[in-house]
Parts: sequence; C-alpha cells; structure tokens
Amino acid sequence: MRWEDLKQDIKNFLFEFRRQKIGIMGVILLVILLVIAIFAPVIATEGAKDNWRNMAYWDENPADAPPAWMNYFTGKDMSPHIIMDTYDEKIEDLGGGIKRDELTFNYDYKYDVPPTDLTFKAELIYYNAAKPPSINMVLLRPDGNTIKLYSKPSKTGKSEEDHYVAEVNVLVSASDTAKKEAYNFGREFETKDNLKKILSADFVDPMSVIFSKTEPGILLEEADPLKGNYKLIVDIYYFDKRDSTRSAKSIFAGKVYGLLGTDSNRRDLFKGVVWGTRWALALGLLTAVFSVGIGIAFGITSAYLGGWKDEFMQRINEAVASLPFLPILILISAVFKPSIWNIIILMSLLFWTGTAKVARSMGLQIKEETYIEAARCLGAGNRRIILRHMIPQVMPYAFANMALSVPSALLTEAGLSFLGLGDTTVITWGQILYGAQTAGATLRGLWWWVVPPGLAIAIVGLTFVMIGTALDTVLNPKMKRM
Amino acid sequence: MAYGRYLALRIINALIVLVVVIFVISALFNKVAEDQLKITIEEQVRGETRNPTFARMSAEKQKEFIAQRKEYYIHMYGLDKSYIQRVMDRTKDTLTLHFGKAHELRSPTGSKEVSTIIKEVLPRSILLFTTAGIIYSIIGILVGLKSAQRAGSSLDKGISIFALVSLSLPMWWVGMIFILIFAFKLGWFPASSYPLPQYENLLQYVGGVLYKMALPLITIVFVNFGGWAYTSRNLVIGILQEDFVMVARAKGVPERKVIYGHVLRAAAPSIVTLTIFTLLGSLGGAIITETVFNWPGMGRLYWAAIQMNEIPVIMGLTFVNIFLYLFAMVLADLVYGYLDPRIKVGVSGRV
Repeated sequence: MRWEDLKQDIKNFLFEFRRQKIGIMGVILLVILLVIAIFAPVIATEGAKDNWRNMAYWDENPADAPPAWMNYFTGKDMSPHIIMDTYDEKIEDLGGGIKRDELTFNYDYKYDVPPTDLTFKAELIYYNAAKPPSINMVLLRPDGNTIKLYSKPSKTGKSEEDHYVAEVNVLVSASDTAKKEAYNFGREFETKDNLKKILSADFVDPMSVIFSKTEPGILLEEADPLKGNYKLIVDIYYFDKRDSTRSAKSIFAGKVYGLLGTDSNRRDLFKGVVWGTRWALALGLLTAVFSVGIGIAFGITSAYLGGWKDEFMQRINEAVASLPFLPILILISAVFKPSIWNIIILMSLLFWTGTAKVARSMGLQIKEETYIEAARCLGAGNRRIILRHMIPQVMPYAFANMALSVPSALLTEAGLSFLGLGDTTVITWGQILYGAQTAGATLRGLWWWVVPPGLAIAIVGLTFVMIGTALDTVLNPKMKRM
Repeated sequence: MAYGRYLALRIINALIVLVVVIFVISALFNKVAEDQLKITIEEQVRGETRNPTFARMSAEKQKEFIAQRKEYYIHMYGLDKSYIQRVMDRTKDTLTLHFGKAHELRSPTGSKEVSTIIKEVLPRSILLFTTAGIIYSIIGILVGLKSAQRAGSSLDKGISIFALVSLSLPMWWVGMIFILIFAFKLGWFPASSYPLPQYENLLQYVGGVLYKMALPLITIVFVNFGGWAYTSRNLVIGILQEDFVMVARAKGVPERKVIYGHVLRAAAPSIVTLTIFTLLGSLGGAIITETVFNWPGMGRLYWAAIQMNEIPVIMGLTFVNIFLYLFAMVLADLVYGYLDPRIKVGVSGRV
C-alpha cells in the first residue's frame, strides 16, 4: 500500500465519518473522557489516588454527605464543609509558670441545617513531660450564650529531641462534655412534654442544639436555626514557657460536600470517580485491542492454512467460546488475586472467539482472490501473505470490533470488582460500587455513592458503542447487507 | 437420519469440551484444592484428639496416634497418589458432581456437602432467570415486530437508541438504582429478597415469592428487552424483504397472518436460539444481580463464598455454571436444527 493511497483512504474515511452524527457524538465524549483521564491529577489531586484506601487521610471530611448542589433541590440551605485555619490568637501569662493561649475562630452560620460535626485539630509542643497542655473549648453564640464543648488535658505526645508533640483531635460529636452541656443548656427552654421524650443526654445531638434558637424543640432538632456569627474559643493552658501550638484548625463538617458528596469512609467520591476514568479507558481499550488482535490473527491463520489445521483451530475456538467467562474469571481471581494487568490479559484470552469466527469467514473469501495466488507464485511465504496481504484487508472490521468490545471488557472488570475481586491497588468504578454494596448504600438511600460510578461505566460504554456503530457503517458497508 | 447424526455430533462435541475444560481446571487448581483438604484433615485429627482415651495415652503414643490418623485420612482422600492420578480422580469426582466439602458455609438444612448446598440454591436462580427470559423475549419480539413494520418511525428510532444504551449498562447497577427508587424512595417492593416466604398454602407462597421476585425480575427485563427488540427487529426486516413475503401479500393473505404466520415462522430458528443465548449471556450478569437483590440463588452463594474464601464452593459453582452453559448451547443447537428444516435434510449439515 502506497502512502498516497493511505492518505486518500483516510481522507475518504473522514469524509464519510463526519456524516455519522452518532459517531461524532461518540468522538466528542471520548475526547472529554481522555481529557479527564489525563488531567486527573489536576482535577482530583495525586494524594486522593495514593491514599484512596488510607482512611486516616480522609478523616477531615464528613461521612455520608450528599453533594453540595443538593441545596438547590431540597429548598433547605445545608451547611457546607468548611475548614478554618485562620484564627485570632491571644497569649496571656497567668503567672506561676502558666500561660494561656486563646484561639478564636469566627464562623458565620447562615444555613438552615447545622454542620454534622465540629473538629478542632492542632499539634501541641510541650517541654515538661509530666504536664502536657490542657485544652478548654467553648462556643460563643450570637445571642450571647456560651456552651462548653471540651475540657481535658491533651494526651501525651511523641518525644522529639528535647520536647514532645501531641496531636490533638477533638470531635464535638464524641465529646461527653459537649453532650452533657448541650443537653443542660437546651433543657431550660424545653417544654415538659418534649423533655419526657428524651431519655438521656445521649439522645441529643449537640450540634443541632448549638445552632438552634432558644425555643421549645431545641433538643428535638425542631427549633429554628439561629443564624449569625459564632465564635469557637479554644483556650490552651501551657505549663512551660516554651510550650506552643502549631497548625491549629477547626473543621465544621458539612451536611453536604463537594461535587459528588462523600462515602461512609469520608472519601470524596468526585475524586474517586475522576481517577476511575483512567483505568476504565486503559483496561477497556487494552483488552479490546489485545482480544481483537488475537481473534484476527487466529481467524485469518485458520482460514489461510485450511484443511485439518483449520478444523483443529476451529475446535479450539469452539471450546473457548463455550466457556462462561465470568465464572471462570471469578474462580481465577478468587484463587490467585491477580493484578489489574493480569485481569486485562485474562479477559483478552477469553474474549477473542467471536472476532476469530468472523475473521475466518472473511479470510476464506480473501484467500481465493487472485492477488493472493499471485503473491504465492512470486514465492511469498505464509507469514508474509498473512501479514501483508490478508490482515490489512480485515482491518476495517477489526477497528469497528475493537470499539464494540470495549463495553463488555469494562462491564466484566466492574463485575469482578463489585464482587470484591478487583485489584485493590488501583481505583476503579466497580470497586467504588463494591464499597457502596458492602456499606448498604442502597438501603440507606446514599444515591450519590451509587449513581455516579455506574453512570460513568455506562457513559464510557456508550461512547465506544456509538463510535463502533459509526465505524461499522462507514468501514463495513458490505457487512450491513450480510 | 441426518438430524440424528447432527444431534449426536453436537452432544459428543459438548462432552469433549466439558471433560477437557474440567481436566484443565482440575490440574490448574489441584494445589489450592489440596491445601484446603489438608486443613480439613488437620481439623478432623484435632477433633479426634479431644476424646478422653487420647488424653490418657502417653506422649509418645499420642504422637503416634496423630501421625497414624493423618496417614489414614491422607490415604482416604487419595493425597498419597501421584499427581496425574490425583488430577484424574478430581476430574472424575467433578464430573460425577462430588465437589467435596465446604469449610464454614452450610446449606439451610445444615449440610456441608458442596453439591447439596448448590442443589438447594440452583432452582431459585433458574426460576428467576427463566421467568425473566420468557418475559423479555416475548416483549422484545412483539416490540421488535412493531418497530420492524414501521422502520424509520420514532418508535423504531427510540428502540434503537434504547438498545444502544442498555448494551452498556451493568445490569446489577440498574438493580441498585431500582432499589433506591422503588424500595427506598417509593417503598413499593422489598429491598431484599431474602428470606423467601415459608410455605403455608399455595396462594400465599406463590404471592410471597412473586412479591420478593418482582424487583429483580423488572430489572432483568428492563435491561435485556431493548437489545432483544433491536435484534428481532433486524431479523424481521431482513425477512420482510424476502420474495415469499411479497408472494403472500400478493395472494391477499391478511397482514396479521403474514407477520405472525410467515415472517415469524421464518425467523423462529434464529429467535429461539438467540433467546437461549441471551439467557446464557445474562447468567453471567445474573451472578452479580442476585447479590444486589439478596436473591438466595447461585449469585448470592457466589458472593458468600468469595467473602468467606470458600474455594471448594467457588469451584463447585464454576463447574455447575460450565455444565449449564454447555447444556444450553447444545439445546440451542438442537432446537435450531429442529426448527430449520435444511439441517434435517442435511443440506447445510456442515454449517
């Protein structure tokens, strides 16, 4: 084939393809998907991929939070996720070697539904091993009332050179002080009937009390929200002059979070779905190319060789085709726990039979063409005839078939992952759905955990189905009539 | 006569594939299966050391006893034979449905025998997927016929697009979405199909099973009927252009009779075999779909076995799947051969 011919062929192909509306849509989708896959580190940060299974990495996020844009639909303004690392600091010497460090965080609360949790995080540096600093946390409400949230010495820290570093992580939802204080605070404003409904302080959500107006229903999450400027005041008492605090921040855990919300492990689902695009495209395309490649080579060789060799190869094809591949993949995965690369190879080794069958029947026609005879007369060997004269003839069919076999590869891998058999070192959509299934997301109505990954699978599948159908129409006009 | 030969050839072919595949799998997974067997032996011997006569023995005697019992079991399970012999034995056992014992998993009646466990769940899978298969084939064929008759209409285009979309939908994911909508949000159906109702009287039992089966059934039908309608549409459009259809119309045969008598008859062999093949194809997705709905069939057993790392059960399930798959393929061939008279007279016996 000369270069000029090839150029003309491509030109003709593009001319034809441009008239396939479905194909053009598929190509646009593919470009978008490729951009997402390539720029995943920019869109979703490298850290999210590396720490996907490191739960400590995500502990600043709220758990089970729906996406932030839910606010437009529910009519209620739910508080978003806010991390505050700026604060006013006031250090005061109380005498007797005691110092007080007062950190004030200003939180402007203007929502209808309070944050799910309030966390204070800091690293305390102290020098006297026997006396780690003590923490006292108070919330000042816009109406002037204060609620005590926490009061305890920090736990002992790790020794570093001549000092110690204690990592402080105070969760209001886990603080008994906050629970008790919020209950006592709310009780004054409650009606007798309401108080009877509450068995003990354990049944009260401190966060909802803190952000409610002082009116009946405050303990039952029925009172109106109290909007305005809240001050979170954290007093840290040092017992050595050199003690100090660093990287302090407070987190108002959102009722809603980000573009796609979070799962039960507090992971940002948007990041997971974005990173999943890479493997979805990679494994779909690689499996398609490998399996169709094997199929074409096998089918053409079988057709060309003919006779008992053809018969034998057809029996092999039939044997492989009569295997139910998902059960076999499940068995292999359950026993050998293969990596994603091995899964790709295994799928390629099972998926080629259909292509081989069609390639063989096409090969049987091509074999009888006079130019094959001519090539043989010129002394061309088997390999040369197959590679140079026969395989190029079936390439159009191969391309269309590749695009069409991407979805099944994708669905198979997603299925394996969904059963918990995927490669756990990478993020795939199937694995996100496995997490959703084991956490009972469907029974708890966490639709933002279930819908996006599956939709992503469907979109990638659809993209290739559209491209494949268009390619088929353009490249194989003969096949349509068969 | 030709049909008999065709039939025999198909069956022999399937049997050869079955034996070869099971032999290969037995050889590949022999080590895993034997490792599990050794654990079983250890447990059995440890169980025997718990009786009082063992405690009264001297330390030396105890050691001897343990070694002796172990040897006994190793011989009993045939682990002292040569590798080839062991693989042959395993192949034979598998072909006769002796899959061995599970470790922790038990059938509802308390049996640890893998074949019993599978036997109890298999009918439920078949019930669900055959029912679904029958429903979506009928709907699919009817819709396909309608859209073939009005090729190019908006119904026809809609079906084509729907078929394209449903081709790339994971069935089990659609199931999850349906649970969210119909069970969680609307509360029309139960979110979990387990446990199935106890038998009291026929009406109550059938009603209860149907209620629990409804959502999985709807899911399977929803995902499959589009592609199926599209396939039958293409088949029917091909046949509508045949000469005999034109002749029938020219003779004045009513259109209904043309469609349901002539066209469907001609399409029957392909449609029936394709139905069997789609059913087969959906068996794969079925494994996962059952898990989503907690339908107590093979799929849910798969899930449980994978979570508990029950290799004997997974192997047993795989073999059963291969059996079913090959059986259905032979069945498809036979039905095709029966419905297509050309095969009976041997014209295309070599196709």
